[in-house]
Amino acid sequence: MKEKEIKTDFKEHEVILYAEKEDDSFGPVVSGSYLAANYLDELYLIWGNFEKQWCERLLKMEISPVARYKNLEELSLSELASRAGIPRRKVKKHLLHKHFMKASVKELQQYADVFNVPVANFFQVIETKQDGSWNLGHNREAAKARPLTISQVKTANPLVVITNPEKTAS
Amino acid sequence: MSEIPYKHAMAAHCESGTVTNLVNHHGLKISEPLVFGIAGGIFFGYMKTPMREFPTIFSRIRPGKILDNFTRRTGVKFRKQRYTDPDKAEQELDRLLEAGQPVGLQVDFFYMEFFPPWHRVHINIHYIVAVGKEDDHYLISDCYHPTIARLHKDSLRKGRFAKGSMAPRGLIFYPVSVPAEIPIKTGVLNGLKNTINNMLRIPLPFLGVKGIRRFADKLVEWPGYANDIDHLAHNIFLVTTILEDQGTGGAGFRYIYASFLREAATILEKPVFNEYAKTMMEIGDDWRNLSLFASRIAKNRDLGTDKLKEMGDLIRENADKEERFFTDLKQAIAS
Repeated sequence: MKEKEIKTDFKEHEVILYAEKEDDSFGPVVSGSYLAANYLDELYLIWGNFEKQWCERLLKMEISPVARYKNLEELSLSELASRAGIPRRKVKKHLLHKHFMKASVKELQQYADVFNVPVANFFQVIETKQDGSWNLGHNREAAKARPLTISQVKTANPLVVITNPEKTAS
Repeated sequence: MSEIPYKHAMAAHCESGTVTNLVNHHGLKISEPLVFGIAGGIFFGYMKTPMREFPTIFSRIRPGKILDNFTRRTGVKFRKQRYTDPDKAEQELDRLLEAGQPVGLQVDFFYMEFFPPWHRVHINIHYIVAVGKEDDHYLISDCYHPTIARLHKDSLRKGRFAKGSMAPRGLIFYPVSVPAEIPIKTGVLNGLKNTINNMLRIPLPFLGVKGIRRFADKLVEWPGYANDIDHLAHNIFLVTTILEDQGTGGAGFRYIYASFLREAATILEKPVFNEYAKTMMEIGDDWRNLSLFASRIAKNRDLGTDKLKEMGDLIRENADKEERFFTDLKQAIAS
């Protein structure tokens, strides 16, 4: 493909593509990601729907917090079991609310490490509401306009984080 | 400790880019397409793995093989070591950086926190180079990032010791011996032969050209894996991501391979390879058109059987073209 045809303008996510240049040589071109430039809003919409869907099922106790994060991170059962170092059979049970209640704190820590979130996040949904609409995270415009930044600072105790809602600097 | 003078350069692909930048640092001037081609990097596969709920495609050889094949075919020697103890792995990394050695690392991309969260996914086969340390942060040269980035040591440790499929197990790698001249002609020829063999002769129905055909045939079954239309759309979008966005240089590595063939024409003194390069560029255009088609039907949620069949037909055409291409290329090498 010709350089000028392949180039996409999207500074937030740039990639290296190989293309036919003006002088007929082939070489690298810095371009914005085609997918991100043209379909990021659509992907945000899909992810937002997933996030909302899994959160609603969590609140209805149909699934556990582990299942919610597993689905959000698109990990298969085997992959999660392998990453957390917990038997697959046990992980399968922990995806359900009633069995999740029997999970040990150590196991929760193992799951939290895989998802890179504090254990505390298994017991809360952090939401920044704007105009009464749902803004869990995967809403690009809402994320940009978010008036608050929620930072969760690690402490020496791996089970405890300090959560700081701060006004986003404009 | 501070930053090692290291020429950071973005690259199409993390593994070939990392290897290229590391050998360039050690004085061997070579391009990324040449490293990729000598390693026989281009490939195709379609399979259902335990890692994902959906079947997946890949358009290059197994992670780690670019480094292995390149070193075997050029005589460049790398030290490669894995660790079971994260403390020892970190101490060794610090020692090497202190000695001025940039160090290649295998990591889980998810923990590369210098990228925005929406970009990061769990994938254990990302390659970076550590080029320094400042207090609790490592200085990282990541081929997908425009500049040298800072990464907290805890995040790097998590990335290096993530478990799961193809776990990095703390892998470090760096050149220990780089010859002034490498057997470039033999390397290029062996890379070409390896690729032709992979694309045409592996007797498994999901690899090479057969893998492309299997992808074409099985695509209509994808709705059976999906929870709903959004889930299916998301996975059809992933086809575009895998072909265009996950460090392929565009069109599932076909464009970078075309660049390699251009260089091969000069190295092998076979001008006919310029024509093959052009044909591969056109095949790349077909893959890119497939990506655009996939994105369009995913966005419109136009994912009925007829559309998936239409997409399957486009994929099948690519399989036919690649079969012809690699068969002709085989004859060109022999002549």
